[in-house]
Amino acid sequence: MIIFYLILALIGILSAFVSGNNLSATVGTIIGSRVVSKNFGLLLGAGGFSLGLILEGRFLSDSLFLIMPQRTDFILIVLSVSVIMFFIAAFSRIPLSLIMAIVGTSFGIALRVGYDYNALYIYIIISLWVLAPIIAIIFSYTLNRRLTRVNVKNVWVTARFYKVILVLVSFITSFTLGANTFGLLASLGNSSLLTIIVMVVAIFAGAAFLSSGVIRRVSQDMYGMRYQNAFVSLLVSSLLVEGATFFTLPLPSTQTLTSSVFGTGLSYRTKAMQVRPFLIIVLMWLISPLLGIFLGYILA
Amino acid sequence: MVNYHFLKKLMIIGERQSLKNMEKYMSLAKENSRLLISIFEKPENDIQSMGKTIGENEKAADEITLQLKRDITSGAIGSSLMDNFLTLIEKFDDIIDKTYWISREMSRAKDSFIANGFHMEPIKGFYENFEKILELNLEAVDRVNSMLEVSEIDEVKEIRARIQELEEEVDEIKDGVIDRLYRTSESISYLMFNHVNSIVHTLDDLLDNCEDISDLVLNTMLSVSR
Repeated sequence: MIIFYLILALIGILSAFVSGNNLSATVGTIIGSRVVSKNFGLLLGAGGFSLGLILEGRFLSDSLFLIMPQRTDFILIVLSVSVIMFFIAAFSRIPLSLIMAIVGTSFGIALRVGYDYNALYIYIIISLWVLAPIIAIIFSYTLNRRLTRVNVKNVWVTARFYKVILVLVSFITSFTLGANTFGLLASLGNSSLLTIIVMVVAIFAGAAFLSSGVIRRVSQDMYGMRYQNAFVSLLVSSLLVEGATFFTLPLPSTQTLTSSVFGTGLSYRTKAMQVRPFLIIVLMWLISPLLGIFLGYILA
Repeated sequence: MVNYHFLKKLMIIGERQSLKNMEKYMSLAKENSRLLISIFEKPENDIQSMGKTIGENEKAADEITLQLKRDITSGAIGSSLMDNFLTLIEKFDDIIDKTYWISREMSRAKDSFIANGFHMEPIKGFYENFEKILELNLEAVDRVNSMLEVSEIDEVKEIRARIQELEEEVDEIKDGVIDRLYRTSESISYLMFNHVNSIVHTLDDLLDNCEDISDLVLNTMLSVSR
């Protein structure tokens, strides 16, 4: 019973921190460009996370147990490693991926205990993690180029259209992140009603108390984007994550979003882009699962 | 139930509202330009009252600047366009400041020339050129004003092209004035030389500001629609 509550507490803590951290990615644009107020943006994002978790989170309820045995001690290891990695990432400001850490740790445990994991599922996940950024870059590059060529007649009608559609697409991005990332996290608590309730409370608590610094920094510095770029990046990212959720595959939203932002940047003839931060993030996509595998293997 | 105030706020484009608010500068710039034309037409007249009005307009422009900066930095504009808008405000304010500087220069010069017994006849020809520049500035200000109201990119580009032409015309007049000023430098005092030289450069700055404003407005409009 104690282990059950401990698992629930760790899921709650992770949910709050993931919510606080990821809100900047989903609603940072509409807050940074002052389309909505900060409070409304946070409410929209947290609402999207929760709705995604409630409605579609169940799609990922079995995915981790195709990789590792469904045992409370192993679930505790996965959550502990995730919390440790999350705090290391937060304090050292390294963009580690939680989904990659969870899947990596599960795989590490499976290797250690000699579990008969679903190899095809692992191959599909690895292929997705390699292909998704490439698809995101190609899609956002193409869409942004096409939209840039559209002859805009009335500037203010177009701006108003983007403003409304950005609010919608930010909510959809939050929804898909809620379904995939939070759905995967919920699976560690059997996706039970109590787990979902704890997570929803934690999501709103994270939005209220843990998001302000990241939102301010990211919305002003990173997401000081044009309406069209922000729209394309969020749309492509949310479509990919929703597609992955539909096929019960875990896919980090930050991976698709970062790649989409990179793709929109590439679509301009004059590129004032810094490639180094993107390469560091790509490097972290390699390190996150490998570190998870290592820690999972050691601790199991 | 849909929140009406939220929808209303969502439908208002902060960038457009802020650009429209900048139209307040335009009437002040036009009035100051017209008063300066009158001053250059008959500098021997009482120019104090006209200078006073120009000064009051300059103070009014400072108030507008303060208000607009407060609006922009407190939430009307997103972070990516904020610098654009703050520069725009500075450019508008600078137009009014420069007309005020010219009126002060005219007032000081007139007093000084009379006190030193200089005749103003040798430099009156230059004043005619200044009037021409101010006429062109009036047209440029009108164009900037219409630029703030239109919503089609092609129209904005056309207006910008016309402002560029006006700026080039003023550049030519300025070059002509400076050439003539150097040719006649033997027959005028240093004070007069400096007076004409400073004013012609400041008048040229008025048109440069209008051109910069047209570039910034076009960039802003492209930025919100692309």
